[in-house]
Amino acid sequence: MTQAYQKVAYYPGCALEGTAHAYDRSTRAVAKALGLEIEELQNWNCCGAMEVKSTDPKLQTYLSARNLGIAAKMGHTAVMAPCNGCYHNLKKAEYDLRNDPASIETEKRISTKAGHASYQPGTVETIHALDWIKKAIGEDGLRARVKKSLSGLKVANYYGCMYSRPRHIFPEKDKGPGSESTLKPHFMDDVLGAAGAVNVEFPLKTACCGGAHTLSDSDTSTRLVLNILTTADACGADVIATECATCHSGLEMHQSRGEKVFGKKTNVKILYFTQLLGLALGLSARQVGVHENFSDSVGMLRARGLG
Amino acid sequence: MSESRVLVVGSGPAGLSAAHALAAAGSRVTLVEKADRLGGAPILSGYARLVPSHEWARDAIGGMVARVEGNQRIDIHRSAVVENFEGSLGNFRAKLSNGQVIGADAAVLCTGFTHFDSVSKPEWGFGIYPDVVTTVQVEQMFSSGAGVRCPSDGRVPDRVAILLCVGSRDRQIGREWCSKICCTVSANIAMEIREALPKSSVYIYYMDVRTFGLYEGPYYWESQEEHRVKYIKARIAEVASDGKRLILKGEDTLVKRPITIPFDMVVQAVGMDPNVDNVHIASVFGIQLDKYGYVRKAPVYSAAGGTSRPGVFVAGAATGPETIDDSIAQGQSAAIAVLAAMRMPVQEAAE
Amino acid sequence: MPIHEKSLIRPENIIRHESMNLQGVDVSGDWSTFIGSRTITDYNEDMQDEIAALPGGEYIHRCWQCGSCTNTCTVNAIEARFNPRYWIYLIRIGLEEELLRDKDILWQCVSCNKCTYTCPRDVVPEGVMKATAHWLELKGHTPDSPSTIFDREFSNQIFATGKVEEGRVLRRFFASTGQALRQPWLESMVIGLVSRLPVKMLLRLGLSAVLRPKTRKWSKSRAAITDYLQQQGRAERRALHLSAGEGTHV
Repeated sequence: MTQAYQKVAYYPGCALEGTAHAYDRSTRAVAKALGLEIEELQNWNCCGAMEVKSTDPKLQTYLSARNLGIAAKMGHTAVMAPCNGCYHNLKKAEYDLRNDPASIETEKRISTKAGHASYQPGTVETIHALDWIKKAIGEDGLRARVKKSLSGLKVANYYGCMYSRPRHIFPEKDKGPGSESTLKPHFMDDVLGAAGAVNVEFPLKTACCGGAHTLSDSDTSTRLVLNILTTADACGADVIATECATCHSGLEMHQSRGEKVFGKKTNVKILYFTQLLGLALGLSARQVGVHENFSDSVGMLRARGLG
Repeated sequence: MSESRVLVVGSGPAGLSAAHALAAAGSRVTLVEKADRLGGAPILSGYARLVPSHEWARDAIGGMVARVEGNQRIDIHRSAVVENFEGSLGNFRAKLSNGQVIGADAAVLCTGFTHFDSVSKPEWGFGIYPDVVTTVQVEQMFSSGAGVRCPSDGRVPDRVAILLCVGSRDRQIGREWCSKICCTVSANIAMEIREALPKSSVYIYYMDVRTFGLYEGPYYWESQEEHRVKYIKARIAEVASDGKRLILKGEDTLVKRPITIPFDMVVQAVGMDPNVDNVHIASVFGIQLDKYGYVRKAPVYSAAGGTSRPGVFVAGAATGPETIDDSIAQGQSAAIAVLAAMRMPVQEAAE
Repeated sequence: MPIHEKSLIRPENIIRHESMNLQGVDVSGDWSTFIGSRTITDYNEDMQDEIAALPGGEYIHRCWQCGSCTNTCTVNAIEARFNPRYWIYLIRIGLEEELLRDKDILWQCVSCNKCTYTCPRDVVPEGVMKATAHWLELKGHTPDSPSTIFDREFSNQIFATGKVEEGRVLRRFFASTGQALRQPWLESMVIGLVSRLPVKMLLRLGLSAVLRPKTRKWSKSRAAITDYLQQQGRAERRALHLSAGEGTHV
């Protein structure tokens, strides 16, 4: 077990205060159960999600740079974001502030007018909740802490788009053994495997759920989500494990919409990976916020003696 | 004037050519080679028949090796590298890894290139599927006499795809150059496969075909007119597998339709990277590299064959992707540059 | 001769002959005259530069037409007309009329970044799709797409308060696109949730609609962003040769 990331800054982001509250609750519960310290960024702002970049990507860089600057000011060297959107945007800002003169200039200009310091790239490392658990505890550490093995629960691990694309904003990935792959990510498989889950061979790990257009182009999103859900069903998965607030609510919403509007019923359940991990660590279904999910997994978990 | 002493580093086509030319012109040459034998990439990587002579590499380059090995004016150090290099034009001193110290008036770097490692492009399946191979591996299949067979089970491939620009012209992986010779080599390999396996079909997936200069006729057109090699304008996005055969995915951009086509073997036309040791070589010899990592050339109109340091010369693929024939020509040209520099009054050289 | 590329047949080019007899053979029916009208007669020489001037479009000139973007494209897999590689070609050459044939679907890019991941020339096709969709709107070729309306609603909330409250975005989006908030599928999902949530949680969710989340001391950031946006907006309109009143979409 490494000593990295025992104490990190925590950036929940807007979704985790709203529709993805279960992700926030389970992340905090898992941190507590594992004895890892997380400190929420003080007075953070929205990362810009997938929307601000459509107005101007340089504004998204500013928004994330402000958050990174807060982490630095609080004395942290790493900030952990569970939401793929937040994680992606922090990484993107770090990359742009190293490489894109126009982004650097815009960030300086707005920061100065807003009366706070510019963020210096390289000061704070952005990590995903997966990096955090994998590096701070590791598979062996998790196995030693599992109280209630997921014992054979069949899981399709779904990573989505923003965790690994485009590759140039994730320079630490694709570095051979031990590092994450941008093409076939495996950190969630590793973590849940250590918690006793059986990871099914799921070909759509990094497929797109249409999250950017969940509401503005619902039919496209429903078709994309149904593809993911039916494939997970066909792979024999009991549950899709998610690591992204947008993906998670997209899957839930369009599972419902797919059934009501397209007449296509799918059975697979949808849970945040932190919820599954928390259950394995002996937390109750309520402690990891299963009741806050739109998708109802209570019966499935109860039948398996989990939570 | 006493006889000059010249250090030549690397014994590929450029180094063999420079060493021979300098010795023939009366210099004493110290040839230092990192590998345990001479010949460079064509010999060490087992190339088959060369472009454009169609001679076997072991005969053509082997002949150059024999000529250098038989020359008493050339002192050869195999399995050795230069560890330290100091002094100035007319008075250099090199320390080798085998402990020897060599005096030299000038040095010629013929340190070559490194084949692109396809593992950096996981989407094309190299290292994942055994039947995805590189042009170098196909060269070895021919030169070893084993013939072109699928590595997975030894079967003769019915259908072979050659993907151009693997590790070249790709900003995703920081390789913005064209490797110059892969198109022609690929056309050559395609024709050789069609000759060896007349029942097979060979497809070349291209973005542009750069069989430059005189290669237009004997490679680009002959491969199509005589050997029925098919050229398809598409950059393959992904190599997958259906469990039995490889599946190529891409867009046929001329008909605006997606491709999902099975193949038995996929050959990646790998590009030419800067020598992986270039950063080290540059620091030992006190020379500059260009933005891609190749050895920076001195201005060609005034100082052809030179580097950023007077007295240190360069030839061949050390300065960027190069053909074998041109590397040989540059080796000879660097030899002339060395001889000219040593006859030049010192103050003139300093200008 | 059989027609191999049915996509080349366009409805506006079909001529119907109810009854036509050629040398004793009845050839009545639909005649496609696509060959005649497909002649290219001009290029829009400004189009590439205009799109390159919009955020995301900066690198369009790098494209070498390899098709990696189209092949990996999530939307292309379900809608063959959605072809980023082809659109980039049309923009670079200036074939505006051809591009406009697809103006109603171009905004549908889902930003999955598969194209940007694979593009060997680092064109950032995802950004080009956004820039092109905005170009179509700014030039008046299309009304603001649902995506643009959503993004604007969302972004404006962030610019105003520093944070986003999803319920508010949802309500305003449905209102501005003229849709009822009570979509049956949304309703059934919410009812399922409500039956499982404790009263305290429900109160919290309800309250967040009243007590909007905010970043404290945001007013200076807001002013700086607004100032930046106004300046960018002016620069964009200049680049697109629009007068001051046109194309004020932000």
